[in-house]
Amino acid sequence: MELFWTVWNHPIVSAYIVRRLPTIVIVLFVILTVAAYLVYAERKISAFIQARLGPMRVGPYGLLQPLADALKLLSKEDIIPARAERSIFVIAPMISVVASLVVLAVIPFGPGRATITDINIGVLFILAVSSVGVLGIILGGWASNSKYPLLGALRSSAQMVSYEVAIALALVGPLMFAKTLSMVGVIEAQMADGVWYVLYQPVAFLIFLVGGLAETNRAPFDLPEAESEIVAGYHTEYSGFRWALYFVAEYTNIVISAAIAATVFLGGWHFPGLTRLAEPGTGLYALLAVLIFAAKVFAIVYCFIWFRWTFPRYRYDQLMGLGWKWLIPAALANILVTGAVLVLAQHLGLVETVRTEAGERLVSLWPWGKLFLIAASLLIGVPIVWIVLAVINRRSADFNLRVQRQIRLPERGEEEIFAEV
Amino acid sequence: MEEKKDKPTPKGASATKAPPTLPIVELKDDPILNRLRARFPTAVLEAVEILGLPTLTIAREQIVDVCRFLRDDEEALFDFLTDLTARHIPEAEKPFQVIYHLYSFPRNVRWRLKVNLAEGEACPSVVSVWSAANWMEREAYDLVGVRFEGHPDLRRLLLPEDWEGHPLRKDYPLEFRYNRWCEKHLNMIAFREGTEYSGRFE
Amino acid sequence: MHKPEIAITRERLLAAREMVLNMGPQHPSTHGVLRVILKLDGETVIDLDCDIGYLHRGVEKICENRTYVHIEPYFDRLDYVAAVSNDLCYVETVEKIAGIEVPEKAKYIRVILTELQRIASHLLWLGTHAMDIGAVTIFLYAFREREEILKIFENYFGARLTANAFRIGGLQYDIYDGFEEQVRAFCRIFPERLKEYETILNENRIWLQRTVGIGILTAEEAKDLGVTGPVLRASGVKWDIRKAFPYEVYDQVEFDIPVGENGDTYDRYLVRMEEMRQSRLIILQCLDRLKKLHPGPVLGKVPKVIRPPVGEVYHSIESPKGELGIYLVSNGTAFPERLRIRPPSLINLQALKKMAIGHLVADVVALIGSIDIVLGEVDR
Repeated sequence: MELFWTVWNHPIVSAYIVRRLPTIVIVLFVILTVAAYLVYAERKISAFIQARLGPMRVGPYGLLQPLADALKLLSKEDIIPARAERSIFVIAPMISVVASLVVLAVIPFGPGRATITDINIGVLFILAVSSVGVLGIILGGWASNSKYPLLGALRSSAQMVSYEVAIALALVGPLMFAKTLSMVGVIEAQMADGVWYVLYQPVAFLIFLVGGLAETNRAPFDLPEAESEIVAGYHTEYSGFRWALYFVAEYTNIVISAAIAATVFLGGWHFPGLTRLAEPGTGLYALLAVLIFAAKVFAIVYCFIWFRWTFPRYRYDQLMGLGWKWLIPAALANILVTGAVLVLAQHLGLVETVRTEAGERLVSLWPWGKLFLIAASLLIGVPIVWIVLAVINRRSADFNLRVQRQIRLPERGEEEIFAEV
Repeated sequence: MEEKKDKPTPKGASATKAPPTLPIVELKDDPILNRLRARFPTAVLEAVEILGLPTLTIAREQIVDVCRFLRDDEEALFDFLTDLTARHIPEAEKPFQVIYHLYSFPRNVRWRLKVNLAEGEACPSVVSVWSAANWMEREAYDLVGVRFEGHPDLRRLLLPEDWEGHPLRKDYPLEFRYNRWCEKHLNMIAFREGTEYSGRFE
Repeated sequence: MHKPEIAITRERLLAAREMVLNMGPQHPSTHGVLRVILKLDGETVIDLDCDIGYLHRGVEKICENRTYVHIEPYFDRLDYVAAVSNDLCYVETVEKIAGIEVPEKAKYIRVILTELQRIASHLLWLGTHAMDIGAVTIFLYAFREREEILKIFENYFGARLTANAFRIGGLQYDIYDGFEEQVRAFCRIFPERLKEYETILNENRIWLQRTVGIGILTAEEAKDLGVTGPVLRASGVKWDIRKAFPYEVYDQVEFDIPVGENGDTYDRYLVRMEEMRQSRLIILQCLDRLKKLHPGPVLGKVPKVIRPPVGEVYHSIESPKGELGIYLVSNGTAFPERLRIRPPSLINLQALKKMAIGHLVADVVALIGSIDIVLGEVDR
């Protein structure tokens, strides 16, 4: 008992764990509820898109549906296929869920105590830990010892790994303005500049959105779960609450992708005019900030849901081609163009480095600096990225519908056949 | 061509008089038929026209050559096989008949060819002429039991691989009797003769 | 244009690590109980075999033991998606062999109902095809339109799906009051709904990538394989039985036949969308003519027991799936001697092997959808 209190009162433990405990508990509780209600939101939104009503019976307007689903899943029989690897089968969904939840530690939900913690390599931490989630998918598919899950797991892991490169490169663009990897620092930089980075980096925003769709296995990139070809992909053999864990992981990943997009591109919890509504440091300020953040995240999540129910699905080779041949070159070109534009702006004296408490931030001078950067991103960035992609993919079958792949098998007597590439 | 022999009135026939027959016209003056007869003098056994459709009976051995001629000849141009089916006619001296329906796209003309086969005789396959015949011949083999020589992959199409019997033969019963496949795979045993299985409950 | 070439020799193919994948009879997107056995190298299909017969009910054998009037409901269950067309083929065949005259008014009503059924069948095809490729919302929208048509059918026939529609010699019921208003109301809203679907799909990059160039069937291959219907028309052959051998009143209405160029999945999609538009035009023309013929008889002179003369007949119509033909041999009794159904879906399905080899697994699903098969017809 004494030992416990010694540890509890230790300065590091006290600063990093004890003081954050309320926030951690609230965040976990809220995010898990949000993930469950995100399923409900998806069902409702998809129903409205499809001219029907969605869940309406369980509770008013079906609002208690997630509760009913959770109870149902908890009460199901625990089926593990006879030839599956038991231990790995059991651990795999846990890995996915834990990887998703750990990322929540560095996401800035609001100022001050609303964020669990802030580390100065926040973005890197997020990318690294969310990659661990892929492991859960691979292990789940492999441990099921069946053809369809194996196909789905391999596809999914290859897809997620490819698109991680794309989103990491896409994130580099705004970070060049923020001059820091810390998530709170990025918001501070946007506050100091008075501009959301989406205006400076539209290309990067689009790449991040598309990459985020692919990272979370959402349509149009949901081939790993495409029910029309491989039944259910890596979670075919999972039932009951284990399956629910995979889904919690997936929806938490969606929330995280949206949260990162909201933070890095849309200014996080900050809104111009927020300081006029409440004093910084008060509870009201924090509450408003959290609500603004939630609104931005929900807007992006709404777009994710909207895209799923509108677009058809990419075929697997087209999906990989899109990631490697279009998004990654676009992100690289974006970095180059951003760098060039920034150097030019510094020469013209339109930007300056400002020192805030947290570190250096890049700030552009009003009005010409901001206009210059916005105009540069739209007039120079977008066309150059377009041209780069056109040059690289001149003979690509993707998006070039005249060049399609056809393989003929050899007839009797024909020794060699040729495939057009 | 069907012969009506003297036997007790078949079911559903009118008891009073013999049934009328569709008018059957002898096919004369058809240029394609003349070319066919010139090329294969012994192939065409009979040529009539029923309800506007020329119907030819072809000898069994020459059916593939006749079909190929009809497809390739620059005046016949029968490039489409509409249907290929088989019939079992137990009363006829050649109980099996394979019927082909051909169609010519350029001339918009339909023809019917028939081949009469004796018990156990195989019909040469026309898969080499029209690939459409592949599954149609498999189905004719499956349901009627006519074998096709030269077919690349003659096995049952609709029924399971190890089914016994050919259902569309006239001696195959309509209602379920004992069937070895059903016993093996579906655990259905034979009904005793006289079992009442119509489903009435007292 | 110089294209680099990769030689794939026979040995390398045989040495490939093949996997046999069973798209089994229970699968979310084979339309019905169809089993496709794929031999894959990675994700490329190198061989394909279809195992059918799961829905074989022995309809041809049953029909040899039923009277001509009793056979008709069996035809609804063949292509259960487009039941009215099957009925049309059957009653026309019997009318042809027995020489029964159908009144003009009945012919117009039959054409209206058959064309409505063609639209309904194509809508179901659109919904399921788009759903297989991933655009799930189109399924719900297409069924919303199909629901309107099924309401008209329910009002007229009493049944939505398997309608037992026509009678040998005409129709059983005259049109009800409000039939014309309902059909015209549907024709009024339909073009904008079609435009809605085309907005989502026609220019959509993902749709184009999934369907253009997939499953190319040239005109010669299509004719050789016996393919009919929209698949044949998409391959460039302008052929429609309604124009080649007109039946009912199709020679008195004006309509166009859409023809594709490349024979790929995208062209089949475009051909069917255009066919829906043409069907709507046929319906409107028939409604105008019907106004002049109303009131009038709808059933011709039919004997109490239909005993066609001895002989045989082959009659076919353009069903939404292709050429649905019936070869009927009569021996003068009240039961047919042999009733053979030429199923368009079965013969179109033969082409799947030729189309799918060389493509990926995901394309096989798109191809099965684009051929538009109904297992009730394939297996009978």
